[in-house]
Amino acid sequence: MSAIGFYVAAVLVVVSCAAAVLLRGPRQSAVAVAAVAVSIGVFLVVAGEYLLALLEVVLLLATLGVVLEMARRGGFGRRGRPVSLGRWPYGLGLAVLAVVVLDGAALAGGGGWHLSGIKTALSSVLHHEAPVTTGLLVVVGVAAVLVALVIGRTSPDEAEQHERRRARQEREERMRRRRQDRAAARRLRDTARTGGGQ
Amino acid sequence: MTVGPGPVAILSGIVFAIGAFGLVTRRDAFGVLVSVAVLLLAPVIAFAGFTAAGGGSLGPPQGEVVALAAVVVCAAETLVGASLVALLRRRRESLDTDDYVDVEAEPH
Repeated sequence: MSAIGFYVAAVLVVVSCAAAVLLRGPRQSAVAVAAVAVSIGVFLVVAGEYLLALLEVVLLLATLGVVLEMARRGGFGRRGRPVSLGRWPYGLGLAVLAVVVLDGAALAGGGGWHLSGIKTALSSVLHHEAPVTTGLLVVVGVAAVLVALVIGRTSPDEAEQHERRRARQEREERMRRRRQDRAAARRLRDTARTGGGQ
Repeated sequence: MTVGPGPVAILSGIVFAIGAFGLVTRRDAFGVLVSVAVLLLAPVIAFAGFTAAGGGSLGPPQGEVVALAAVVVCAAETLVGASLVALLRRRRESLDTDDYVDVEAEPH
């Protein structure tokens, strides 16, 4: 892995990950997640894992597309406004702890890495050495799609219940507005009567 | 000039830390999903990078298979999580995770 390629990819990965976590609007967040998928794809290409890069980018962008379609259909609702970052001191503490533990261990390891120097293509490994793992991964992917469909579907009675709730909220809103209008009119009448009396 | 496993491990640790930060600080369900996805991508960097550097394995390197598994699990988690969030959003009319503290069946 070339040093220049690695450091360029590393900067892209860190910046895109930070943007995905820190940006709060759903649209900006989605763009940042797409950037994360592409930047990790760039890292994998730099590492020489072309098939893995292709699979990673295709899988993550397809998943993002499904999530965005779900949001467009109202799955996350129009009222889904950005919620402010809370508990950031705890998050910062946990992040610092993770960096200290993980990177501290890596730095403490120093040059003690065992280098095997053997490199095998992913397609070959998947086909000849890990066929069961490949099958399991396909099963996990298919099961996730099925479970997501079962959980996320809207049954007819649920849709009807939603419609009823929405109609009730609109009715209550209309009544509230009418009450406010009546109260305002009463105040005006009272003011006019008091003014006429003087 | 080539890069060894050390810088790859450091990059992976930083990405993991960013994901952990987001997981604790974000209060909207979509943000939590994004943070978990970032957190799950840290091992992808580690395994693929270690394999590329040729480190950490005595036999034939299968780190790329584990990296692929992590990508599939990340995609699966995001799909199922998004469905759960959509379901909770329909029930609770909110994306704020603090509103999901006591999830119970709604009276009919």
